[in-house]
Amino acid sequence: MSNHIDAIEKSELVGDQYKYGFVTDIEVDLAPKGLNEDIVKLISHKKDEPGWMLEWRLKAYRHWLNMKPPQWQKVSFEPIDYQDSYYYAAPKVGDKPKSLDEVDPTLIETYNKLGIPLREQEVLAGVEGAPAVAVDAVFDSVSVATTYKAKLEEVGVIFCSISEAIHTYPELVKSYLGSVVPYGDNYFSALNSAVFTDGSFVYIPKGTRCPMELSTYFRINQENTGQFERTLIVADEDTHVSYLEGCTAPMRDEHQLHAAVVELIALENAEIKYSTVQNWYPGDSEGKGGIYNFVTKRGACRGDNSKISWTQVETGSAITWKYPSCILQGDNSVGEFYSIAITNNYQQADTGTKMIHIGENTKSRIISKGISAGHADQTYRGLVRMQKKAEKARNYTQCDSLLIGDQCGAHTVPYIESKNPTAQVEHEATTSRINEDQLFYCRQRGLTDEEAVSLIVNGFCREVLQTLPMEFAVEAQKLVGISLEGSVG
Amino acid sequence: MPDGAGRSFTFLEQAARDDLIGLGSQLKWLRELKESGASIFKERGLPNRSDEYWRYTQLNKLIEIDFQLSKESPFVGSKQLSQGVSGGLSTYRIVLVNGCLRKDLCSIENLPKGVLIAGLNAAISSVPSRLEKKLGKNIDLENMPMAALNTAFLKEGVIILVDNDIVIDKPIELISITMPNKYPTMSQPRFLIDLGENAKATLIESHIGNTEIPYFNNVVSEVTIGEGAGLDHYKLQEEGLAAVHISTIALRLQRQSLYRGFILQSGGLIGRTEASAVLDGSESDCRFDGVYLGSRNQLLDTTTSIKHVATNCKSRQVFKGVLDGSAHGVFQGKTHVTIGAQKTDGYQLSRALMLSPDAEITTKPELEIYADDVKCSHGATSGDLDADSLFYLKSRGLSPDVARRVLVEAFLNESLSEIKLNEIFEGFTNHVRGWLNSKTKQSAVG
Repeated sequence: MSNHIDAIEKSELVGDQYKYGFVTDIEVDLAPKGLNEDIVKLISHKKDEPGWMLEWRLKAYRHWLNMKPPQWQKVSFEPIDYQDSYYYAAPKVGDKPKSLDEVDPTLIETYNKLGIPLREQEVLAGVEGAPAVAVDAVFDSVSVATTYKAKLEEVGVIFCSISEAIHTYPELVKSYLGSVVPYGDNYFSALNSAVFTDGSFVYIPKGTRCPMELSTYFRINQENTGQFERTLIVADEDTHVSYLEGCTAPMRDEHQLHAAVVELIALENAEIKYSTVQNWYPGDSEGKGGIYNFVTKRGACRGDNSKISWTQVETGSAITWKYPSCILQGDNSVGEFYSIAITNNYQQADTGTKMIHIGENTKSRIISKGISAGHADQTYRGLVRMQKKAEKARNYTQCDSLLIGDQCGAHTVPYIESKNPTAQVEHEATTSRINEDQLFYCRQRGLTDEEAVSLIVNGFCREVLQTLPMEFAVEAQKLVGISLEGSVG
Repeated sequence: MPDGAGRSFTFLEQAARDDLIGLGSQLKWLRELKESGASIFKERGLPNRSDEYWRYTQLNKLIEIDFQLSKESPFVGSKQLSQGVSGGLSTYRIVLVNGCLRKDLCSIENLPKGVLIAGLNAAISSVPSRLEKKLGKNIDLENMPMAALNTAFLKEGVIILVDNDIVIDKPIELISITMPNKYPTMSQPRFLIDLGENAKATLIESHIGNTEIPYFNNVVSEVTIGEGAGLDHYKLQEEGLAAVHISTIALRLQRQSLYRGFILQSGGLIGRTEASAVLDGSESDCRFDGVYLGSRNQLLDTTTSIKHVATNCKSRQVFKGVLDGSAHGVFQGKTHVTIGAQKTDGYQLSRALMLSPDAEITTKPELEIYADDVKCSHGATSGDLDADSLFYLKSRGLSPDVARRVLVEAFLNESLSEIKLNEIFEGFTNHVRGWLNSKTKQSAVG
């Protein structure tokens, strides 16, 4: 085994792995550094927001001032200086571009480099015959382009940046924003509510099946900025939508904060599938730099027979703190959480889910695969709660952890609470390392150590990878291998 | 919180008052030990929701009622003594009544050479130097506020010291009985069990309540198992209906040692057993199994923590709970593998059966792992009886009540069958049957 570890440790270095680490040189509009009521007002002003929105932001900001950062998670980092960051950075443009042709070519180039085509006729690279995907591209604080809008409008689907939605569909935004994640929910959701700059808004009207995948691509480019985006997806009765989220950031020595809030609302018979490939810059092999990814994601299955499914592939970020959750209010509603989290070098992740069963016959399924390598520390933290009225509710949870190397940690902290005897809860967790026999078998067939590990880890994650939309699955499989390069053993 | 702090203070006042008449003040090391317990408890106060391992077990009862150390030790008949689970085995017996050692009820004559069983108080006078080396050495008081409180009171209790290579011929039976008193009674007993190299012993511990008025029993057991030694430890918690029973078991296992613990909790209004083991020596093997049977408005909490420090160690935990009425069951089990504890094999299973619509179960099985060459897993389930199995038994002519009892007993058997001594297995099984019978009677009446 030791020879094998040495062989791999001598190989590739981390620098090669993060191919999105470039910086785009583009003129930006920056708000002054620091955080105070004036900054909140400035952001609201820049976005030309109505009064109610500013009110809401200020309420959130004042609430945030009285809150303390959470301490319970199993990650450690220096306290964040919230005054040493920019809260607004936008690519400088004249008037809002009317078509893609007017968008700054450097920006288009950036997204092309990231493999995110903003040209509507193109499809994602590498997958022949793949269906078209509508993309909302968010660059630092603002949305720069949304594709396929016209085609979506034909069926009545609203897909735009949240700032645009606040102007164009204020009633929709007003009635749903903050209804799943109230601004006072936690420290980072309060911060986000005060200073969020952009994000995506989706509304699927009654009886509509969204004709294509919707996607938002987030990019942090500017130095010393925090990114605070807000996503709101409302699926009205009898609808279906699949939404993808991707993110990258340049390699920088200092940490950058990303505190997003995602709210999903599924009404009767609606289904939302939300997939994330999180590939923020994880820091270098010494643990220097990287994104702090402190995100609140929550979905409410409000209507009967509704379904929310979260799939996440978490490979990036220096620290991840994120628990995509489902509140299963409607009878027969279904919540799913499929997760792959890979931590390498000095990355830390405390991630998991919450499934709150309120309605009758509600079902939830949690499949979490954690891979920890190098000096990384990873925790699955989850809550399954069967409330008193959750007659015949069911939950199945499976958490598997794989340890690669003897300096990393993998932890499982599930909370299981049941107040209904007819509700059935099952939880299983295992921790192990890569089987030596499997490695031997692969090497004997001519695979290099890294190929072997990548193959085995992909097998370990298969249950989750299968749930990803095809365009993402290809990308994610590659990512799994890349993330473990350099320190597997 | 202010109430809790106030109560902590009156507890400590009592401890200090009690100390004036005790021996504590005469021995420096003992005084320091008690003081450290008092100061930690003073700082921490009674545990509350913000303590991660006390989230689900609230001790408000301890604030509401003014518990006093018992000054009397009432009469106890043979009926009370036979309430344990020794199943008629011949044993060495040691008895505490309302927290005070009762020599007249003990039977510890003719102990094998190299075995010392005595009251803590007596041992402090007779073998202080032996105790100085052992007492309070295994407990992480900082993280165990209730053990810190017990330490502040350190006086009553039992010590069992077994020299190297001694195999005790009969089980040791430790019975703690609480009888009615004029005032709400409190006891803070300390048990110290120390097995030398290659020693073997069996300990049967029973906590029996014979009163329906509230009392508070805060027990701490310190157990050290020497190299190659083995301890079988059975514990029955059958305190009175209104009792608060808090028990902390701190274990340390040396190389190639074996600990087999079985805990049955069915008594008390609040019953909590917290067992924490440190596997210090390689190839040691630690097992905790248990059953909890909750009814009425009981809260039964089983909290375990197994810390693997050495390599090649094994731990296994199987806990089963049955909850009726509006009982709340809590199981928190942690397997912690520290850096370097390679080749660890850790297994844990927690299953709960809810028999009534008002029952509640909270489970938190936890893994904290810092070594890669390990095999660790846990499983947890909760729900009611399987409808198909019930139907099957009923279709074979069993009455619904009998069918349910058969299934519940079968459910508990996975844990009970870990008991190696036949007589004790019978003792616990009878206890479970008694509990199930009383349920059936209740439901027949209701």
